Amino acid sequence: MRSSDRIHDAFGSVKAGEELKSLTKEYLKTARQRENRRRRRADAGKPVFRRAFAGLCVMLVLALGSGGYFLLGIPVSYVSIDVNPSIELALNRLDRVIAAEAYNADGTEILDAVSLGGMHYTEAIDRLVESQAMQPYLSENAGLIFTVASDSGQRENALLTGIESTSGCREHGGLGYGADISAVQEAHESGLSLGKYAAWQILLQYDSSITTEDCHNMTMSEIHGLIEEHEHGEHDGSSGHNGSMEHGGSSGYGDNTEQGVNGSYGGDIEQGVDDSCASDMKQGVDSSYGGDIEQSVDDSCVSDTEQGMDGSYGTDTGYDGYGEHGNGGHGTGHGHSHE
Amino acid sequence: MRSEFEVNRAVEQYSDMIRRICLCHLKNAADTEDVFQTVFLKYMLYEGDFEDAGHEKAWMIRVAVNACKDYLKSLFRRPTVSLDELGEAAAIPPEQHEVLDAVLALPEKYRDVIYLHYYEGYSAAEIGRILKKKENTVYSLLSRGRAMLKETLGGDL
Repeated sequence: MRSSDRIHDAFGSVKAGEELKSLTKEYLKTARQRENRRRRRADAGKPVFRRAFAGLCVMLVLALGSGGYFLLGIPVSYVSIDVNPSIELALNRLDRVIAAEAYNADGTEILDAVSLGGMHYTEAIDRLVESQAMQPYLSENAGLIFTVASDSGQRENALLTGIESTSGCREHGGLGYGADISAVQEAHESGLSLGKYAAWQILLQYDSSITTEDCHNMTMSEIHGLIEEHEHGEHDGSSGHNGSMEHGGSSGYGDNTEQGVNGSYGGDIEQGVDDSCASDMKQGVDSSYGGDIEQSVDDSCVSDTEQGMDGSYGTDTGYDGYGEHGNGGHGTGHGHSHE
Repeated sequence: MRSEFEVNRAVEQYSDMIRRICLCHLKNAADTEDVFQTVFLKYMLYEGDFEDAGHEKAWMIRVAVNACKDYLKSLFRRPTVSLDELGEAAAIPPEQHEVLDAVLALPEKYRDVIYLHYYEGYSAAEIGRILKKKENTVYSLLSRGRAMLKETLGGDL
């Protein structure tokens, strides 16, 4: 027999027993079931559930992230602190400082020295007002003005109350004002803090020639001083125009009045008249707006004029006008006084 | 995953061949059983297509040889095999027994080549492709293996 055949036959005699085959088939059967279960799990778990789970996770992260940002990252209120240094705090929904910005060199200097990020606004204000850097500006008659703007009136009031309760505000006689949230952007566009911008807007009512530039270079007490002068100018209007003559008088005081400023102006005058023209005026106003006023004002103010510096002031013309239709007439009155 | 029918067909078709490959490498029935499970499980889970029966058979051989080698590697089995230890000596006629003993006495690397050439009838080139060896290596393994067997079994080999 050839060698190759011998080897062939020898191998040929080796066979896999039936037992081995059936054992293998048995094993493969269970392996198949196991594999099927695994694949079902994988199928159920893979594309659908796992992807959904991943999607859920992503959404959760996004929700947490955007929720957190919504809660913590978006400024909803602004607190402007103006003495001469102009500093503005942007507060998030939790009333915590997310940004503090200086609007002039003094403010920058202070913010360099004091860090306010993440603080509650009351804490931030206390720290700011009590900081060493701030002290030189807080002299006796320096006006410490807080101006608050918020997306809701409720929040604004809460903030104002909170500010007024801070020791920083109380100790230095700070004053809190509310402002419209829409003013914030306008303020920033003109490079002013909210506080100065709001003050400028008030001043603008009296003096249209005042620009934001001018305000930028004025301290808050100067601006408020001007406003007060103008307001006082109105107050003293009937008795004598000394104040306004001295200060803002020269510029365009008469012009302003001619513009007829606004509705509240009439109110001011009433008060102003109260001061100077005393009981006469009040009676006049109480009774009827017509002739009585004319008379009463005539009475009192004529006497004023007699004592006063300005002969032309007491002329009937001016106050006749006033009697007829508040603002316009009043304007005429002022015009007279300046002349 | 291949169907149960397909897998059972493969078991029937290739069991003998794989049994012989196991014989070339493994020592006892339990090891053989393990390798059978490994090979056919691989076949069941193999998602690829075979071009023809020859391709499938060559795939089986390669998987079986590798499975045996892996098995030995993992368990540090003694690579020498004897039929007695396989517990199948009784089933094999004495004449074949002698030849098989002689083949199994060869160093392991000769056995697959001898088997594939003398029993399965593959050429050296085909064996080289299946076992990923150079054709010349297969040639020299074959001729040296034959020489050694001749020495053991006598001149007519």
